[in-house]
Amino acid sequence: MYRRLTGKNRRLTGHTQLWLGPDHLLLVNSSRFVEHYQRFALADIAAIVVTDGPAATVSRFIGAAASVAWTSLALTVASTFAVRFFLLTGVAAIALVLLDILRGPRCRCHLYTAVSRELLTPVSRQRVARAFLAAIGPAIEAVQGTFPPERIAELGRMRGASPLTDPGAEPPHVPPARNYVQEVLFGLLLLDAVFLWIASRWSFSEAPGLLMTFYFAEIVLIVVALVRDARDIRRFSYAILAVALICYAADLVNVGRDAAGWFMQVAQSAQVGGQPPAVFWTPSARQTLFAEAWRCVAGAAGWLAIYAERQTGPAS
Amino acid sequence: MSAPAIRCGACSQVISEARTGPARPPKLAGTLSVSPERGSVVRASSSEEAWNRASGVHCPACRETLHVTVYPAIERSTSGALPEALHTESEASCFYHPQSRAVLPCDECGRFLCRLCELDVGGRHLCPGCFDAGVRERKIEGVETRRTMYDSIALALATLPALMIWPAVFGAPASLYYVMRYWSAPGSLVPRTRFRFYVAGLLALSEIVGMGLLIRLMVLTSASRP
Repeated sequence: MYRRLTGKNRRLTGHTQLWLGPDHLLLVNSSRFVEHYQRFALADIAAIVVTDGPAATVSRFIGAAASVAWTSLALTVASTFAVRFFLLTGVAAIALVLLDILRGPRCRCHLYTAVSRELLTPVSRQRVARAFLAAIGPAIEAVQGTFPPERIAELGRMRGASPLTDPGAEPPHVPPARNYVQEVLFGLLLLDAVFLWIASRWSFSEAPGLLMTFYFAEIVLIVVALVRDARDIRRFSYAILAVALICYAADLVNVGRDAAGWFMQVAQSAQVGGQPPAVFWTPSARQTLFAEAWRCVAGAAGWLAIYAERQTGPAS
Repeated sequence: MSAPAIRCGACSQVISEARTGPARPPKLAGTLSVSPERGSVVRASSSEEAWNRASGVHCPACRETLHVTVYPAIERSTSGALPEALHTESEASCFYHPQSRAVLPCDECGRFLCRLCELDVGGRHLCPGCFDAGVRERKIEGVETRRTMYDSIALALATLPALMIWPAVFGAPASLYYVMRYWSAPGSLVPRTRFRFYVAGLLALSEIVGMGLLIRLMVLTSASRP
């Protein structure tokens, strides 16, 4: 009775899928143990709008870089178990990124009826959307007939008197809210550079813990800023963010290597019965200088770039 | 009532006619950009120009590409039939709207219904109450909104408790019960095999047999101890 139109769009708690019935489109939303159905009569389908998703180049690059960085941690550890753990999980993460690339660019598909606008979650890739439209189009046209281009042009001319579109009903356009994620991030980088300098000059026991907290805050803000501003990647501040991410990854590798060394020292001291090393992280002078320098440069350059962009461009 | 307004799937901006007036930054302008081919962008004068274009259009707000496919139903009005008022007191009135003239009785309960209350379901005319009851009791075909997947439940009962070993004591019999009780129950609306039922039944049986053997082994071991 039903013909499958799309594959299953799987998620943790179930899947969604589209099927074509004799006179309707069936959207199956499965929560594994219960299936929920939505029917859309072919005669009632007014429009199908497919919106291409963003290129996702940045998010894929971040995903790939993070996966490679995670896998490369296998080179910094000595334990066989740790090597296997990082290799296995890293390869799995890389495979996921590759799978996402192979599935093609994303999209969002909305189905319109006279009284509703429904997101068709199973149509989440442009390739799937093309196949879906090729399958559903003839079925809808068999019920409703075709919509000749002349009629569309006529409707365009009749716009003033036509009830099809009511300009008065259109809500006012609200410009996107201005966010200050980049300002906060670059400020934090400058603050961390100062803190690193203080921690290197006057060593105190709370420094490693505070630095870890700062590092975590930095990566969260970098990722948020990269994702939020991914629509306009040509800006100079965005390039600074990308460079900051690379420098941050280098810092992370250094910290990972130091942490692995600290664990080894703890293990050795436990074996010989000696005193374990008191300080978790003791970076070398070169590492500290690198961490201070890139934070200083990225923070200052970022602030200047944002100031210049705010002066010249529209609010974003 | 007007037809649905076509919106961008990314930012929900209504794709509307071009606006006149002073130029604004492209991101804020409500003008529709039509791209006949990649790389070249021209201005469209109305939303209809966005319809059924193979190359798609750009959203005026977020600049994402949209492919708008419209069908003749977009011209259909959304206003339905309105009930007629009673002309004389001798006329039959609707059970739910005493001020409206009844046009036909419910095929299920016989109540008189006006145009607003009459629901045409597969050729039968039902009142809202009977329709609701029919949906709940699954008496009306083609309007079911949910079904329970008993085969998935049986499979989960056969596998998940067994992962923690001892809960299989309860999981396996429960799974077997589900397999036998719901073997003939209606499954999914869409094609689906009984594969899960077969696997669940076999797993549950093997777990029960395994547990029986384990108990027997434990009894024999304890009996052979001095």
